[in-house]
Amino acid sequence: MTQKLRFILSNLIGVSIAILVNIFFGLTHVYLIPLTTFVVMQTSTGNVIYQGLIRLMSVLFVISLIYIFLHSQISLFYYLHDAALGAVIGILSNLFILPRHPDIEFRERTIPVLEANQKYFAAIIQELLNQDPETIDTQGNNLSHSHKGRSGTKNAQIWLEKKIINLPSWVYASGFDSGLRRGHQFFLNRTERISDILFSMHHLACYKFDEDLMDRLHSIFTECAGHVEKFFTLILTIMRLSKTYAINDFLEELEKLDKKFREIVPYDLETIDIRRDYVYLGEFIFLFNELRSVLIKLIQALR
Amino acid sequence: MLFFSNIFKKLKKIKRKKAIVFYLSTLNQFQHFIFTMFLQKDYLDRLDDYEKKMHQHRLKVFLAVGKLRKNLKWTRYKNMLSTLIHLYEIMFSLYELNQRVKDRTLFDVCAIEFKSLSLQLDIIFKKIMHKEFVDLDVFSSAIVSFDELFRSTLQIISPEPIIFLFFVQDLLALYQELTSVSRFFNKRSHFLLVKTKAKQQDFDYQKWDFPG
Repeated sequence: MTQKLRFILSNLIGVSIAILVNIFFGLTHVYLIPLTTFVVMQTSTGNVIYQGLIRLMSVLFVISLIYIFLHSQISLFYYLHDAALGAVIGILSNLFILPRHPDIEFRERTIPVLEANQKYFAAIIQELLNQDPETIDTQGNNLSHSHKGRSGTKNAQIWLEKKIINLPSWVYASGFDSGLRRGHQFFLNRTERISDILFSMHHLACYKFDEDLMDRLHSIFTECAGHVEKFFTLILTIMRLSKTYAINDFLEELEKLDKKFREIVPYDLETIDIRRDYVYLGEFIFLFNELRSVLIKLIQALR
Repeated sequence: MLFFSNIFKKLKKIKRKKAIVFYLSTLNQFQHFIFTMFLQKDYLDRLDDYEKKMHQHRLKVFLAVGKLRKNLKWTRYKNMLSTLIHLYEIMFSLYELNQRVKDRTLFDVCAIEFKSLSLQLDIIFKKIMHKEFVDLDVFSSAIVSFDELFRSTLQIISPEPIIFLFFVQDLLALYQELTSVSRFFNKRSHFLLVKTKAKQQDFDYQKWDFPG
């Protein structure tokens, strides 16, 4: 059962209980109990008590304001009593009736972004190296038509943009479970960092590089890209709670890439600045290193 | 039917304009945030807060991008779409400097240049949004100032000066893309201006070369 479905069912059960309680124990009989229950239950994942209490305070404040203007014959205490009862039912429903699991929901939201990052990275490398569209995909299989050249990169980018919007922002909410906060925020931050690096890489990959330069770096780029894709696959394997395996941190391959680049382009500031493609390629390799560091940190955090 | 078709077209035009303005406004806020973050003295002490703000800005950018793609996909603006999208990629590339620089006192050296760059970008974005004429010379002067600072000072005091070279190149790329964008929208405003004048003076404006 997905976390969203659990939340909807939990709401329905909580409100149903509130309606029953309203019939037998409600003092005002204006369905204030189920209304408050519903309002108090609309909290983000992992933030039941804090946000529930904040919402209760807001409801009590609104009731008091309305009471001042309406001049009802029923005592204010009765309204506050019903609201408080509704809040208690709401908070207890959130805690015990099909409670949402922050860790599961976090995984459900983050895995698609990591998958999108992986596809986008593969498309960027393809665009950089101007490969034949029918070569590799992320699993080393023949690529499907949807990944052809620049349209493949564009589709992968659009897909990533859509997935990023669904990232679990509630890990940053005040009152989020303090035991989970640091770890979840760190992981979310690193996942977003990967996307940032990939967008920068794409900005550089769009540049028309010298063909001779790219031919000389083609094989080593492909090798390093293969390692990055293995990293992504490992992270996704761990996130899906499957059996993990050891992996090469490809530091040697990156050093080889850097060395080969310096053989072609003397890596001092005066010379590298002569041509824009030298600077862009230098920055691309720099981003490759940064991507590797972030992926390693993610794997270490997961293990 | 023609009446409803015209209303539908006008509504689509309004939505398209709103999407472009919203996107440019979001990018403007994003650039302001990036340059402000460079100069925050308590950045390392309040890392969680700044990461949260960056996350919020990121979400805003992608929401704006989604609206932009949706409204420009099947219009004559679709050629401009890739340039507009490229703007946010360059912004993320500029933001990389914040992650690369370990010694944040280096940013104090560039404070004046960063403020100038951010101010010029703010003016440029606002002028593009209002379809006013954009003079990018001031922005290019700001980039040149930063480049001179890099060559005279940062190259010597920075442990990794190449990251500032990358930053300068990204600024130049941003300048190029903003030139394309401002030319595109200036052409359209010129078209609107010409059409109005033509109506007033009964010109045969069929002769004019309208932009794509």
